Amino acid sequence: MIANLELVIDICLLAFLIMIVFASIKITDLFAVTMLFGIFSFVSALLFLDLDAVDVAFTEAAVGAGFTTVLMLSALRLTTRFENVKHRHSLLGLPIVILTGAALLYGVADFPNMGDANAPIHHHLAPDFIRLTQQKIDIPNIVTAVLASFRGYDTFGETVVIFSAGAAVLMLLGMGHVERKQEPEKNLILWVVVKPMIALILIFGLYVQFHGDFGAGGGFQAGVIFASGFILYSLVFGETYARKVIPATILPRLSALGVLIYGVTGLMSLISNKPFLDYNALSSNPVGGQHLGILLVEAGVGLAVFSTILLIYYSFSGREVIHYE
Amino acid sequence: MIIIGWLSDVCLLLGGFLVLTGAVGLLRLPDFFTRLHAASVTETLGAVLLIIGIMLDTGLMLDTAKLILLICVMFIANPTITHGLCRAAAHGGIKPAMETKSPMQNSTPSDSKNIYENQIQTETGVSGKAPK
Amino acid sequence: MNLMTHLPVLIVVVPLLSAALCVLFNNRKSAWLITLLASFFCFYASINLIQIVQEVDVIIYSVGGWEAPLGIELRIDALNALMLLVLSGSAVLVSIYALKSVEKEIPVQNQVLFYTALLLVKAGLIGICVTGDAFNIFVFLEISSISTYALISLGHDRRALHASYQYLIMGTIGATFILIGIGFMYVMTGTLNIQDLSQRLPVVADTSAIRAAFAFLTIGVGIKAAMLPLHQWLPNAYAYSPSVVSTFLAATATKVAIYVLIRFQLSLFGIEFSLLQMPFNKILMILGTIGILGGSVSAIYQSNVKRMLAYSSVAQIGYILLAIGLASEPGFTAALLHIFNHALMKGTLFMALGLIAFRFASTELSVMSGIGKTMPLTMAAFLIGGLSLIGVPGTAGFISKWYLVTALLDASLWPLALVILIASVLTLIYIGRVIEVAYFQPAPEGITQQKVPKSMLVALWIFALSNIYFGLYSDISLGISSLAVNQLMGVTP
Repeated sequence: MIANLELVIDICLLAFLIMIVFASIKITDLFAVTMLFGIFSFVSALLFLDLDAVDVAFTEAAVGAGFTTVLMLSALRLTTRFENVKHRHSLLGLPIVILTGAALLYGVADFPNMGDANAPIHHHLAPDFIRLTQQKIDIPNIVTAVLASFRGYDTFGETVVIFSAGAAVLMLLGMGHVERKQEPEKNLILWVVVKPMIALILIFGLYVQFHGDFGAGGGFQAGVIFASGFILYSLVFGETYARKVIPATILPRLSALGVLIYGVTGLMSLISNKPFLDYNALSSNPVGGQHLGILLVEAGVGLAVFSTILLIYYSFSGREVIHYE
Repeated sequence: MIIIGWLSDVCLLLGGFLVLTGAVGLLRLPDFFTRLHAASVTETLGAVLLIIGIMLDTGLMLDTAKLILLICVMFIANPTITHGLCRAAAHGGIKPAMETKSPMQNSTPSDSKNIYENQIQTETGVSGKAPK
Repeated sequence: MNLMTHLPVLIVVVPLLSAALCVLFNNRKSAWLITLLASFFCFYASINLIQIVQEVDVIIYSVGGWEAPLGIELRIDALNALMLLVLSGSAVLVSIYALKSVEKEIPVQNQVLFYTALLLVKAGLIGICVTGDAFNIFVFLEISSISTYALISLGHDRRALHASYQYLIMGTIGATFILIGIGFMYVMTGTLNIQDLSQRLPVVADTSAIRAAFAFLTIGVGIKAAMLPLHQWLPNAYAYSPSVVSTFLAATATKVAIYVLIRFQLSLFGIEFSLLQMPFNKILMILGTIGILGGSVSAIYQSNVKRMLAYSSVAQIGYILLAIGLASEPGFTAALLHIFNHALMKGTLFMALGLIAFRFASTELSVMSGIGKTMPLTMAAFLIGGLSLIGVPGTAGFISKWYLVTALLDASLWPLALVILIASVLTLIYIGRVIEVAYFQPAPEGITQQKVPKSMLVALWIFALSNIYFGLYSDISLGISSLAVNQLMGVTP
């Protein structure tokens, strides 16, 4: 009964996703499309949640439904609100899209069934991950163990991806300047409510950061949540004040520092001639070393993500609006 | 124990009913403000009742504290959001529908387009027309 | 701590962390210095790795101390070592060259970030070439791609933005396809390690999922490698990007994509499955042939020399694909040799163009009249690069073309050998156009001897002379290539 219910929910959510996609193709109001994108991310987060991928769902909700929407609204401010409908679509696109879809369906045909206990992914490496996480790393959240320790090198790469995204945005848009921008109007209710909310958001961010070993969460999600606190402040109290709290010029350095924390943590093990990112070398007790390593690495990720996201937000919102006639 | 189970069921059912009412209201009510009103019923009472129902069902544990915190946040955040939306709508020049019209007339596409145009006027301060 | 054992990971981590240091110091001069030092370190590391590989065949390094299928392993055999040499060698020369070129071409506020992105591109490409893990390839592909998009957009011309956007869209589709392919393989086998995959794939090879994965991977990598029908992003991206970027990209970026193609086709799917069971070798040969002719003909009609060379790159990629399509030992040797030699010649040519752009702020053919007299050293290097591109004996280009033609004749495909000769004539035509304008047309009034920075000239001439060196003494490049081919084909134990 329960299994069937989950399936029904999955199908409903997938149907939602398809509807949202068609709606966002059809609608020419880019503001509405942005909102639909936010909803799309949120529904896919629900889908991930239903598939028991809590960490993924968390990230999707924080980044996709939260930050990306803010970013797209900032970008929308710089351009026009309605799509240029007269723009002709290339006819070549249609067969390519259909072909790609057909190839995907063709490939999926031979997949093992969803939740099939005999599927290769459940037999080959997963048992080892579960066993070794208990034995050698000793933290409850296996996702964090795989992410930060077993495949820590990938996560290091991902952190650098985020850093390079920040650098790319900075190169293209610059930091922007805030003097000539309109500040938001004074609104007492928002001011009063938002102040304690920001405190709550920041505390929650720290909780997610340091609780990642035990529950869903970790550096990526925490960085986004922490940054969203500052973005909220900037939206309600004006960017001038926000830039006084955290100056824009410091953000690229913080982001670089996050990458360095990760990298140097990895290099530490080289001193005792252990491979890169071997946390066992960090402490006399291997398990303690793993704990310390994961903590440091997640801190680096959190710092890099936080500062990069705030940096990208500043870059977008600091642009002057140019009106094209 | 049985009573708590019953209470939980009642809360869940009532919450579900309120969410459903909110959804119907969102579709059927005539203008932006009344629709927002319907939606806020879902957010506040509907969601809170559902959470209370879940709390009663799971019993006392650490998660209960988290859920209570969640209710607190929702009680503060949701009305503020509704307030913010209302203000933005009023600021954007959306007028409440005062006369008694049939709901269908009010939600025609051309009408909603007008709303957008008004908003553009105040947001960019340049032109009220959608670009060609 | 023993530095040598950690070289496989340090060659990636050092440039990555140097990029972060650049941003941290936020100073133009120190950013350049950091870039240069990191490049020299990588070069040093790659030389050492090549020596080690020639002794022990394969270097395996388990990151994090987790053994291969569980953790990520770095795996360096002769093919990787060859790629590392190409990458780090051109990185060193480009870094020397960058100092003055960047000062001239890049706005002051972006110079530090420029070096940061350059280091990231380099580290990303190196990261792709050392890893033995399929998903890790994707991660480092992302690092290099994002930085590449940003670097291209910094071009002086406003069209650079459009070129970068075009590449962004195409590149993202390519990366997504690669990810889908890797995901499909993971579902069917439960592993991401290339070595492990190659052992577990044959069991499930006859499923639609693996066939689809093969298709997605090939098309994704094909976009990145500018395989013929997917090459549209390349001419604009190369033509409008800053000189330093176009030099580095032309020498390395598409080569790395082709490396990934070879790695997936041969090491992962195995030669039986990918080239023979799927009719992929025929497709590769057809696409390669069309690429050679189409790219060369298009190059003739370009008025911008940089764009011309970009089309020529499409043609050169055609040579490499054709050689891979042969699916024979001499074919692969020719492909690897051409990867190496093409980096040398395109590096020379684009660097020379960078010097011309340094003086005239343009690479149109029209500004180049009489340039042979006003910038003699630059044009002489261009001439060497051009001759190498045509395949004149005594240059590096001749060696790879010779091996390719021999391989074609071995497979008794003499019509294709004829195509190579026709393409050489076409190359002669488009290089000849530049030479004619540069040496046989009078310089416009008032333009006298042009001064160019010594550091740029030195870098250019090292590139140019290496064309001749590797043309005369091909032992080194040939030795590593054939060792790599032997390992790929599984000849040596």
